[in-house]
Amino acid sequence: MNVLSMLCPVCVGLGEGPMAQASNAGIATLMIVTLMVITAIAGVAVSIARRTRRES
Amino acid sequence: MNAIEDTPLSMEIPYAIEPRPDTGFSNAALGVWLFLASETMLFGALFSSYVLLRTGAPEWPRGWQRLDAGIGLLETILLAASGVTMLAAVRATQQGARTAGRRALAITAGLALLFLIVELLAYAAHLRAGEVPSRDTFWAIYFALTGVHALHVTGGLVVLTVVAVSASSALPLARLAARTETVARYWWFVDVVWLALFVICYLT
Repeated sequence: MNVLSMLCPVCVGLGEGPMAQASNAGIATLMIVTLMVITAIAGVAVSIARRTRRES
Repeated sequence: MNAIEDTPLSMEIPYAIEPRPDTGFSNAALGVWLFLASETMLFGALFSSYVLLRTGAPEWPRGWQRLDAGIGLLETILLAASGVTMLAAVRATQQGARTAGRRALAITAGLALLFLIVELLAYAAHLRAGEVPSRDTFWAIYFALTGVHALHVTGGLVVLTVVAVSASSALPLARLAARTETVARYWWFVDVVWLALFVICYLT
């Protein structure tokens, strides 16, 4: 098997191929989900901090 | 005797039901929200894999060309109905209606069981037709996504049954309401994930 075919196309600079585009789309999807979760957790943290300040 | 010996020993965990005044969350509510955050990441990774496979494929079949959209719609209706009965269970237990709450929980569990039966029948039909995960990436990701979701429905069914049974016992109403609300959050999450699965697997 050609070793080059096993390399990540984005890592070796072949960013224009369909697999590279697919990798980018997959990464973008995961980043969006991660950002949503982190934003929600940050929102809860801010809300708890505000409530605690109000209570004390 | 000193003051410590005078204090009665209590194993009661604080804020198990009532929210903490400083955070506004009970232990159960905070725990289930954190659990759902991790679940979102799990399904996010699976959806990301789906996007990678679909975008990278030279051609990708439309969902309705390979799957029976009628079965998908039936499963969607079953889960949507179970979401409504779960809401009825939450309302009933919050209002102190133990019997109505137990009935709504039992109906929700029944709908979950029906969903799983329909899913298993659909799987059996696919496998008989040779549509196995190793056939191509469509079937691989279809079985991975719906299989992980079905495992979550199975887990939810177990918890729903436990809560429905506990509703028949002498469990205090406040505790029953808290349990029902906790399982409801999980159940609605499972419903929403299915809606996303239905759209990407069957309708696109």
